[in-house]
Amino acid sequence: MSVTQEYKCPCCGGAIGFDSSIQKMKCPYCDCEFEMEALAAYDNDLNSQQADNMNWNTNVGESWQPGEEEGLRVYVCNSCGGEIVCDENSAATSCPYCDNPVVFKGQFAGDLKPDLVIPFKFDKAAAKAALKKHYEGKRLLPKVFKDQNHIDEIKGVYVPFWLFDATADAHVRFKATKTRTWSDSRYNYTETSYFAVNRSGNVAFANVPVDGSTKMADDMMESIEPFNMNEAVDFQTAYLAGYLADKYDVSAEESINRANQRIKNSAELALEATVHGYTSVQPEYSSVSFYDGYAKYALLPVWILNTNWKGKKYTFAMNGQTGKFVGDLPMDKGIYKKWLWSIAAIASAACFALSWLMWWA
Amino acid sequence: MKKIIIVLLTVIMSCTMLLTVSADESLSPIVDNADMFTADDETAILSKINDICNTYSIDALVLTVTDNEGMTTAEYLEKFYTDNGYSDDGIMVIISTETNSFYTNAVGRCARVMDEAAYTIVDDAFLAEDTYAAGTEALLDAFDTLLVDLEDVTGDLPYVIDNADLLTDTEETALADKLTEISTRLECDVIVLTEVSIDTEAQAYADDYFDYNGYGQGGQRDGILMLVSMDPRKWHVSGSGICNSDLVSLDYICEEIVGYLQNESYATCFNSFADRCDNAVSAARNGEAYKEPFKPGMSLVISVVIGFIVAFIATGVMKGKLKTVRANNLAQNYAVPGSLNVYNARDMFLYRQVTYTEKSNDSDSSNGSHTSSSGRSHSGKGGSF
Repeated sequence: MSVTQEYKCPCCGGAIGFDSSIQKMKCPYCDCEFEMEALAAYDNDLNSQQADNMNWNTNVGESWQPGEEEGLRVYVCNSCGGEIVCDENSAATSCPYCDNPVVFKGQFAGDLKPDLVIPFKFDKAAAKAALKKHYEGKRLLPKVFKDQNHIDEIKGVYVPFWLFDATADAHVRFKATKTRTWSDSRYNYTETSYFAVNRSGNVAFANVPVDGSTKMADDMMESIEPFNMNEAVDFQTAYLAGYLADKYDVSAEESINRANQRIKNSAELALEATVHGYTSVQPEYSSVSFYDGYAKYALLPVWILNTNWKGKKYTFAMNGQTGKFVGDLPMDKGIYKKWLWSIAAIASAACFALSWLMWWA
Repeated sequence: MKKIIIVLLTVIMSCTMLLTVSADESLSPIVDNADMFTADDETAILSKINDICNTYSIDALVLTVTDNEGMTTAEYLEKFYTDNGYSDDGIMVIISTETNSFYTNAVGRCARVMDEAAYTIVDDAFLAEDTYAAGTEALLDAFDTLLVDLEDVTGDLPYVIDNADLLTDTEETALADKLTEISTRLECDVIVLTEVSIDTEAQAYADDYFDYNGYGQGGQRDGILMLVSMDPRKWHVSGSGICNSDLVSLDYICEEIVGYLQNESYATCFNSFADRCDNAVSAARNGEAYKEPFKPGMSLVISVVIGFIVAFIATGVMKGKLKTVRANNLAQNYAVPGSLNVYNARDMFLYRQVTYTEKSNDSDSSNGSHTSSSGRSHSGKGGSF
């Protein structure tokens, strides 16, 4: 059984969480606010205390079948003693019995400790408001889906990301053309000149994020980018209080291919932007090598909203730092057909009227 | 009694005024606005004119002016001749002191005997004399001599001259009947001319053929001629009189010509030309430019196609708004500002290719209004096929 971490209010003993609006820890019971540094010191004192050791062993109920408990972890809530069963990657959650925020310290022990964390700047209400705004201007969105606005689940999640720093040294050869046209009394001439354009250069990239969790869709995590890493702070478990958190289950080595591809594409694009004066430019060959490569482990704030509609699950994500909101929406085929026929009818009528006016004028 | 005398005098004066007006409106063969001729001169000139008119049954006009009213001398003469209702067959001369020039012309049957050489004879006769009166008399004598050939001019002018033999006999007969009917009804000659080869520019050939063969009806010589030459493969449409006005669009008349000629559908081409001339000149006779009738069926089909293209684009944009989750294959947001360092930039020329395409030989050229070698004004449009 792993060790859980709760943050108790030094004043009233209630469970406290991180308040994104004031960027401090706050007790929901007595409204006391605590600086992160002060709480970290207080936390150290608490850790030195001797924990009770009850040594109960009841052996009640059936045992887990072999292999059944793989991927599960069982924790005990420090507030109410409730047993928390969650998957092996969960690092922070809420107790299902007393709703107190819980952080599983073991998930951040040793090499698993993140280097950086970006604290949430938007709260749950902001996520709800963003979802409402996300529906605006979507003419093909089913009215029922929009009106019900039923959200099954809203959770603030610190998603594990790998941040890659690297300097890309790129050598790119482009095939470029210049065209010139002229004519005489009989012929139209087109002269096409072909050039081999070589560009070599290096460009530095910092904190290119790659999703380190298999639970999160990679394209969705890339859609809510960018994250401003200037606002990242050194990791403290206290930031996780009140939110869900996972530890990475995709290693840096497994993630690096995605970072390589993105950096390579951008390095080629940066060099292509230095090619001027041609009619067309096409990359023909490129060789990119990285040096000063360095990977960091960070937890980045994401609001995840889930809903079901007609048996299909719809997931939305909001960047907890910038508020950027994404999520694919369903389309009402009936409304689509109405719009298609209406626009076709109006545009056809307008064209017909225009042709008549042009004839009449 | 006194009242009766006053009434009678009034009636007599009114009749006198009416007679005066009638005299002004009568066709006078000599209009000496520039006062160049003495009474004796006018008597002598009138005598020659009467001889010519009686002999050949034509009209003749000698006009002198001090002000061309903004027109060229030739234009002024043609307008005066037309506006005052002189005969379709006639000769005319104008002497303008404003431009110190003179111009001679012949219309109708007279034009058919007056080629370029004939005009030179007439002009030389005028210039050989020292006075306007003597020159005019010499000019009329020259006309009198040349118009002897008028007796040989019989029958109507042909409207189909198929020297290149592009039409079958049946097609030629049918086309000739059609053009004769149109030309007669609209008082505007519509001519189709084909040649095996021409050795001058198509425009000049068409203009001169029209002018020197006496085509054109009325004082302004209303008519239109379509020339098709097989060597080089050129076509040209030359308009005169009403067909050289803004009311008759050569673009409309020539719209289908190139396509038919390239397909060697000559009879269809010439019939299309005739029909379009009929439409355009009929409208022009009513004082308006021809407008093709509105074709609702074709417009509707095109409108519906465009409407659905617009609808698919618009709904495509709407569908696109529903999808916001997309992979990001770039990392520009994370490039360190100012870190790009290009240490090698080399642009190397490899080779050069030149391709050429022959200019489309069906390109039309509209030559607008221009003056032909005879000094007459023509509109024109032509090209290759």
